[in-house]
Amino acid sequence: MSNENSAKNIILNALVKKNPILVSGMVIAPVVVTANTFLSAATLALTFSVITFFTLVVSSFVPKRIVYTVRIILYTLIGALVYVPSVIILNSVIPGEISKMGIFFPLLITNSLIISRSETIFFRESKGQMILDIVFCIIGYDAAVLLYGLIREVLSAGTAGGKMLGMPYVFSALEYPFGGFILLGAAAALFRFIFMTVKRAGQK
Amino acid sequence: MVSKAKSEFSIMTDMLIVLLVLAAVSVYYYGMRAAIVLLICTAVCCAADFICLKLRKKEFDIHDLSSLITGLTLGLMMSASVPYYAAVVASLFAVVIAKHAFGGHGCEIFNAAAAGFLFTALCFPDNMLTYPQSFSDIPYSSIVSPDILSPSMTKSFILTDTSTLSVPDILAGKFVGPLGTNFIIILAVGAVFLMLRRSVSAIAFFAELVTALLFAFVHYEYDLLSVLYFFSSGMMLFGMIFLSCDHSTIPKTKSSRAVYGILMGACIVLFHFYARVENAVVYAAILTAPLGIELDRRALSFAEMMNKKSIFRRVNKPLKHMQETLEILDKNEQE
Amino acid sequence: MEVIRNIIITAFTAVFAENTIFSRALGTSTLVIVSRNRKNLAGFGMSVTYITAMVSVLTYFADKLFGISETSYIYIPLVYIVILGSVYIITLLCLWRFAPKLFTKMRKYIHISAFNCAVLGSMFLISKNCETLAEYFFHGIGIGLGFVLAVYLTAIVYDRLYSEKAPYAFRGYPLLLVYIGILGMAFWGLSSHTLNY
Repeated sequence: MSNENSAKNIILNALVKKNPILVSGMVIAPVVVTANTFLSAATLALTFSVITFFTLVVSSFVPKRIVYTVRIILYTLIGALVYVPSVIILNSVIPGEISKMGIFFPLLITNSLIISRSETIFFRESKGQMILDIVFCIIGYDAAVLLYGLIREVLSAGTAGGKMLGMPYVFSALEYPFGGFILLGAAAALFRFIFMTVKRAGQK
Repeated sequence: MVSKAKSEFSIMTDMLIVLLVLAAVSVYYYGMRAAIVLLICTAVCCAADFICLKLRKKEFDIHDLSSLITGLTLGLMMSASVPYYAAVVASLFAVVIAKHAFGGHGCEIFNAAAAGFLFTALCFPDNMLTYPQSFSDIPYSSIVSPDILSPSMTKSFILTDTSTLSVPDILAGKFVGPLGTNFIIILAVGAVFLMLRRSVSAIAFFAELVTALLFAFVHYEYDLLSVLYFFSSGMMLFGMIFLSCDHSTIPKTKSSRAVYGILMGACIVLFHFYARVENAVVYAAILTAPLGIELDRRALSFAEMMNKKSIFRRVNKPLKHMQETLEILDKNEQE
Repeated sequence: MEVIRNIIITAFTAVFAENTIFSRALGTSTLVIVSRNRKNLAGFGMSVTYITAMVSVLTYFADKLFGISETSYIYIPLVYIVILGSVYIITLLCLWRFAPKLFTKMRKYIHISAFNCAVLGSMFLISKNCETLAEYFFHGIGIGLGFVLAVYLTAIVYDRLYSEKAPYAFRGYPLLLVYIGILGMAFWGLSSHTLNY
């Protein structure tokens, strides 16, 4: 029972209460800059998932007796090593989309989930809980990025996945970083409003 | 000496008077379409403000004219040919995002009209930054044909550093530009009126004016005509009065206002001469807005530090202006 | 004279026109954490600028050594991470040995000032945009200072963003993003509008 509760809490925290983009403010840079279409958001979700999952899982085996100063360097080195096969494979599968990501693909090596959440949350849990937490954090991130990318593409270009929607006018400023910030801020506010409304309805 | 605080309603009424005069002249110059654009901006701003207050369960204050002022300011910055949806978007952004998201009137960090205008200008640059000639027939349809539109005088001045306009035309506002920001004489009279009525900070206004003009004098090698073109372009005077001296966002103390004015003037110079953007004053108003808060904080720290210095303890009463500074800042902290 | 002018323009562009946060969104997660406390701002600012300056110099030599080839995009991040890690370790060791009081103060935020997207991103950006060692170095300093400017502009309004007067849905993190976005519009005016990523 306690395991189920714990697993349920872990999933709820990862997806909703501590969603990396919409609540915790983690790994925002590539979202704001590169995720201005559904396709680029999907590329970001894929690259983020690959780098983060494998880096965190391998890093979890780094002995805790090693001083923190060295551990953090090891995590980023592991990330850089995970990056090598990732970029080779993904570049051969979706070369155009990977090149559009520019410097933000290698920058995922130092994303906040690897640098800070690993030490504060993931590596303090048991292996099973850690895997669950990481997987659902990644799912939470990916879901938010995909939805955000879709909405941003519709509003800024009037297309969805590259297909014209016949919008009467579009907000082209939303495809720039500042527009991405404003839209993400509005999305985070809306998410919080919906969450609180559902929570209050549940309490009643 | 610190002057007696003027009531906010009185300040807003004075600004409204000047804005209404500008609106009337803009309708004279650009016809009924100008009136429609101004009405849309004002109506949407007021309606959005009312709805946001209801959603936030706050009372609507009939004496709060801020949404009216935001609507008119925004409308006067628009082109007479701006699509109606752009006017709606700008108004909604100004009130919902730049004003109410930050906590409503009195809590804004940025001037709402400046933020709304800038966002919309970046969304729809072709529609927002092309203008019809004054005293021409502008159709009432939302989308106006680009055949009758042209870039502003500011744009050509930025590109070439010259203009062929005569001085009377410049002073009367007879050049291509936004609805209500070209009427230099009316704006100058309005600025004097507002400063005499203490509704606009003379310190901040003159600090930014002198900073910007000094640089322009040196840049244009003391050519007065070029400096006049610079001063008339890019909503300069309008922005100095209604954007940077907005009583909601301007710093509260005199020293802060002076520094703020100088920073504002420097930013106008930076955006006009280095970045070469149209409407440098709008960008400058956004960039310097957060600094106003910090300047007040620094003024308070400095006043507290000076009050504690032993040299002042020997004086029976603290220096009058420092005491008044502390009182103003304390009052603002409590609010 | 021309060289000095170019260096000043390079640094100025890195601080304002191509600001790390407002124009490129690099290091936003770090900004969210650091802007909470204004007291540590000076120390954090110095450590970020120092690290970006140091890594930019080493990046120059790394780029010269490894060059730009068809496959360099695969292993260059690894090289940059090694550089970053080395600067981080050596800095900590030197502080611990020669300035223990400063070491104690900086310990709490030096890892966050070293391992963030702004610093690693600066290495990639400098590699793309600069040619001489002086350009690398001053661009690196400019990026560090630009990041500090962004953190400062956020820290000074932190109380307003988290104020109870702001609607609950927007209070805090969402409003911070909106604030950065609105300020980003002004910085966009300073940039050339064709930033490379």
